[in-house]
Amino acid sequence: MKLKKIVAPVKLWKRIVAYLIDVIIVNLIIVYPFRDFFGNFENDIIVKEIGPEIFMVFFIISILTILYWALLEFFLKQSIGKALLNIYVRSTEKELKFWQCIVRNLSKINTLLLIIDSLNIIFRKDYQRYLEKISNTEVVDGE
Amino acid sequence: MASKFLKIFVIVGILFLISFLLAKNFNSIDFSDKIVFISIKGTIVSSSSNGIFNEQQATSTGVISYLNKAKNDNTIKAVILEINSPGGEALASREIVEAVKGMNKPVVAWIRDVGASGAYWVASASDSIIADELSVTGSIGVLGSYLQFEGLMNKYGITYERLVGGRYKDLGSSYKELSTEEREILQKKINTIHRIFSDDVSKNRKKDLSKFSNGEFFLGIEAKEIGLIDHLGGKEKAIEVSKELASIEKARTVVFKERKSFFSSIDKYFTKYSYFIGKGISDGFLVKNEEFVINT
Repeated sequence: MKLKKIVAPVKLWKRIVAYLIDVIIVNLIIVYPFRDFFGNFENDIIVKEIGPEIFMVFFIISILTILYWALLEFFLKQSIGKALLNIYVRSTEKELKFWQCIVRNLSKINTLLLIIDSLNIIFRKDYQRYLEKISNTEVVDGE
Repeated sequence: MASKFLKIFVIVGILFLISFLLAKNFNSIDFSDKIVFISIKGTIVSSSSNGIFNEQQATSTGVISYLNKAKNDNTIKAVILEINSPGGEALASREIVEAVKGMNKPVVAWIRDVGASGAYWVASASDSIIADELSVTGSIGVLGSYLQFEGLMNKYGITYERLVGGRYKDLGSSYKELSTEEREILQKKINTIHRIFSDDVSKNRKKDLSKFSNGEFFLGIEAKEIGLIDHLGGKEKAIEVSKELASIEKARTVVFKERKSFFSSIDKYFTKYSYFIGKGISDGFLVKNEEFVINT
């Protein structure tokens, strides 16, 4: 895969659309199998306190969600959403390592965390999220 | 390109398989047979006052709503009323009592620190009552006392201008002393409420408790001896008794809680802090004036 020379950071809308596509896929392959489990809990004004199972389920979903992005970005440099928008992940240093893929995607287990992580892009007009800075990765356009 | 699709397929496939297998494990967990805890904490009232100082209140509408939810949920096999209340309004207490009596599954009352007066009335309607040795319960009586300021007002030259249509319209007003006739009228009404309360408790407990319906409160250990409660114990005992009454061996315990919206939580905190900010500002403007100091 050849990457264009970076002229400008990847447009924010591309990253958002790629993320939304990936979220749909993650819901289908990771969250949807647990639908019967979640079906036990009514979604009205009543909140039921339950045992440790729900924490276990949320933990499993979180791990698998991170793995979805981390594995695809490590082996292919892009998730499915990124592939459709033709954008890639690369390391700002040498070769992209697996730990970098894990760290940069830690905020994807929760939308609020991701928004906080993305404040750098939104307000400082930077092209990297905080975790991308920490993991020394960036998202670029590609051919 | 083909190898790229193959890699995507393999990775996504493996993740889906792991998710599917783990979900199968969790989906098969049996969530039926629940025992629900319904909390009755604070003064029993018919509707909340929304004041910032009235945090601990158990509204009859709220409790009844939860009882009805438990009634209509087939997976709930028993209800435990977690009571920590000194009682409250007679009508509100009675409303909850009737709702408890109308339940189609066992109800166990678990009295914690206090389950007295109206709260004990509610407990008496349940199938079994559990309390700790040191819990305070009983107090089967009616309180209608109030502060009367006529003397204090007279001392400072404040008068009560009585303008009524119907001579008992201001019956129980704090601004005037009760006449003998008015006292008798009020006392009669209190006695009526007391009689209804006491008779209903005796009927619920299936024993004559009129001897103990003099307003006296009892510790749990005393209440057990005289038959006001059934068991001494705590939460575990309440669960054990619930399972026995519901004839189930295993059950999950759940609670009903009102899910507060983000905006109602924000509103509550803003109300509280606005009050204290206003108080702070007004304190700063207060001028100390010797003329208004009350000498005792």
